[in-house]
Amino acid sequence: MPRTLKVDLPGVPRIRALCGDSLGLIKVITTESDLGAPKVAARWGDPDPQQGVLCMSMSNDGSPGLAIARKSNTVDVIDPVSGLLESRLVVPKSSADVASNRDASDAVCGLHLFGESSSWGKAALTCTELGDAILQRLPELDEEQIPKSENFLSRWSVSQTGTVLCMAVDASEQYAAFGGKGVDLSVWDIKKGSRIWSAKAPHRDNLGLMSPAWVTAVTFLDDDHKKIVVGTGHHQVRLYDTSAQRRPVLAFDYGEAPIRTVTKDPNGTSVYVGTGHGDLACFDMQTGKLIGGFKGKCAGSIRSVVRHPSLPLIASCGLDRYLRIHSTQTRQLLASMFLKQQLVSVLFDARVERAVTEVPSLPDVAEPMAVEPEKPSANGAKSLKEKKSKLKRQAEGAPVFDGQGATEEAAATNATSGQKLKKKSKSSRQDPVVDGVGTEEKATAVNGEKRKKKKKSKSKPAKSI
Amino acid sequence: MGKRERDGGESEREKEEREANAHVGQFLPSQIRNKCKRSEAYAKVKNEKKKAKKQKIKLRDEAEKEALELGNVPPPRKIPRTIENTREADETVAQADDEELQAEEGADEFSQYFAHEITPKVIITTSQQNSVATRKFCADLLTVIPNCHYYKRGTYNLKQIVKYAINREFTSIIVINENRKEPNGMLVVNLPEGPTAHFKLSSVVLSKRIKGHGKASRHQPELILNNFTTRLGHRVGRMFASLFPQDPNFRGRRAVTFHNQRDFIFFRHHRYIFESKEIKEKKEKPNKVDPKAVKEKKKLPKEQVIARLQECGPRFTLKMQSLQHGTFDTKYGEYEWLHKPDMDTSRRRFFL
Repeated sequence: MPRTLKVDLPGVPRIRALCGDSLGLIKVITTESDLGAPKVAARWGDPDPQQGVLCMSMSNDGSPGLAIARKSNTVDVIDPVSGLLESRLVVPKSSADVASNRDASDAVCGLHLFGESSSWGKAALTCTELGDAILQRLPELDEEQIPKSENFLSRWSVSQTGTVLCMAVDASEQYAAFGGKGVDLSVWDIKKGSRIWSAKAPHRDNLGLMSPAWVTAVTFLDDDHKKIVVGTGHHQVRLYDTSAQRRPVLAFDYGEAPIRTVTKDPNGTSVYVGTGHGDLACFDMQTGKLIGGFKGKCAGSIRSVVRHPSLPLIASCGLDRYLRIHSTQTRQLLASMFLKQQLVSVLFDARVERAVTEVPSLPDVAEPMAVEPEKPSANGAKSLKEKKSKLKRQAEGAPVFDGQGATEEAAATNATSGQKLKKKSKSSRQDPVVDGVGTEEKATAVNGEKRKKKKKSKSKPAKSI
Repeated sequence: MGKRERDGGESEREKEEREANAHVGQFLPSQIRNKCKRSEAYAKVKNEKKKAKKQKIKLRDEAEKEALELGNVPPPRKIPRTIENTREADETVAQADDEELQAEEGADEFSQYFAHEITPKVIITTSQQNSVATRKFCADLLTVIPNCHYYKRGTYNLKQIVKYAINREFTSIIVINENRKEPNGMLVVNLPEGPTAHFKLSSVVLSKRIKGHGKASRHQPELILNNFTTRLGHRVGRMFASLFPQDPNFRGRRAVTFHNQRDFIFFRHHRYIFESKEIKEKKEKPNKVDPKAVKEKKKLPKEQVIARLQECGPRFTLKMQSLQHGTFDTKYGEYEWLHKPDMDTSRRRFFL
């Protein structure tokens, strides 16, 4: 008898995910049992193409509320448990002169919901394609739905040209990064509404050509607001370090399709990248190397990827109308659901999960995928040269050791100065007799030992940034 | 097996096999080494099998007849297993009463066409390098699709053509691509907002090559879309529908068919005619008692209306490679569906 049934998928532990689609519906996906198949537990809203979802956001601090930006230029804040509307704010339209001669529209391209514990209480930061970034206090539900300037906590224009496509807010909720088509990456102070950093275009390529700026996805890599990962329409993933330089410290290509989404992993080193061809992969941002791709017959462009805050899971959704849940450890497909519409955004609701049940552990949980990073200590005394050479090495994909953060062994072999480090790496390739430059390597016996150690340290995976 | 082990006689396994098949004959045809004799023996076996099958069917039919005569319910016939009816369970098959499906189809890129707000106007063009075969194929397509205009491709790139067509209020672009001077690809771009579908084009038979083909009239054709069942299939079916006007001229008796089977879309173009024809009656023995009645019967022969088909052509097969969101942009575009090799792990999985 031929196989007429689908191969059963392993299933997922107890989760609760919220998925927004092009008809403005929010679907709640839950699993009833441990390692069960997920089901649609609830559907909120009526199918209306005018109310299509553009972005979704939940606050970082775990306070309740799910913000949904819609095509009708409103932002609805609903209760993620019951789906009841809590607040609704209207995103004001830009003036005509701003919109002239531009492809961009007033559609919301970035949304972030601030919880009560943030410095301005409950508020929402929105950004339109025209670059109009507004931080608004959430109005009461019975208030009149007209954008009031007294509700605006902060408002600024990100760009006078081009189309803004993406926005990200850092963990401290002080800074926001923006990027788009013709709008290179820039970081803004939300409170002041001032730009604190902007990226420079990368160097010309080997043909002497410059690719125009086209940032399609952005995320802050770690809790610090210094490191930013960006995906471009020219299928490139870039790592910017705002404390180092204005050009990317690491850039590599992935596939041949524009990158649609970039999501960080809580380990602070790896990112998940989804493309317009429906490819989904995990990259290590220390080395720029591919950790692995996620399979699962993804047929359409991936619009949103989200990492579960505690469990080793990612959920992805996109234009092929499927929601897929993968394990980040085995990279296997755990569950897939057909949700009928073109899906725009997905979020995990970990807060409700914890309230409902204790989060169980996966049965075959291995060690975390990447080594936990040691946070780089603030070392203001470092010279600029050192930093530059470090970044260069980082860009080359070699492991980098911090003067303070690295182990003693590494510290012994690698001199603290970046210049020395560079010299040594050069000399180690040459005949050991010829090099007499390094002061430490005068005695041959010691030299041999040291080289061994060096080898050891090189073969180790990168430990810290 | 040991066909080539000439020395040492037959192997043990062969022996066992022969013993097992002792009741059939001495040898299985495959065990005979002389080709002439082997084929003879094989033909014999085949003939016997055919006879046995016929006998089986005859017995079944008799049993059925008997059961009906006795007023019993005949045993249910077995349904042959095909790849289609053993297809992998597909959750994406569209349900008619699905509220979300209706809402989405009410507002998608083709909704204006289905609401009779726009009439289709189509550009047909070729690849930049084109050959006679492709142009002939285009000429055949022009006879099929009403309100369809052929444009020389020239050296324009497709994005320019898309812009041009939007400005001239065209609703679709069809591009025929070719390889080795034979048409092998078809791109259908819905305007102004997409989607764009790319098909592999194969088994092209031009009208001229179809034996006894007819010439299509200029009436607006009827459209038949078969088996576009899944959500993706619906979308593709709606795309094909939006190439043709919605008010077929039934007097023209002209039908265009897109038949989907196992993800291959077969295109056929026919005209049909209704003819009344005498029913051939079984010869009855002349009733000696009442010859008048027989005469009357002969005067009024029974008539029945039958439909006859004539193919007009062309004839071709499409297989979808990708469906792209928006108009043509292969480099920076987003795909709604893209064929990938890991989808081909089962013969029983279909997407349309």
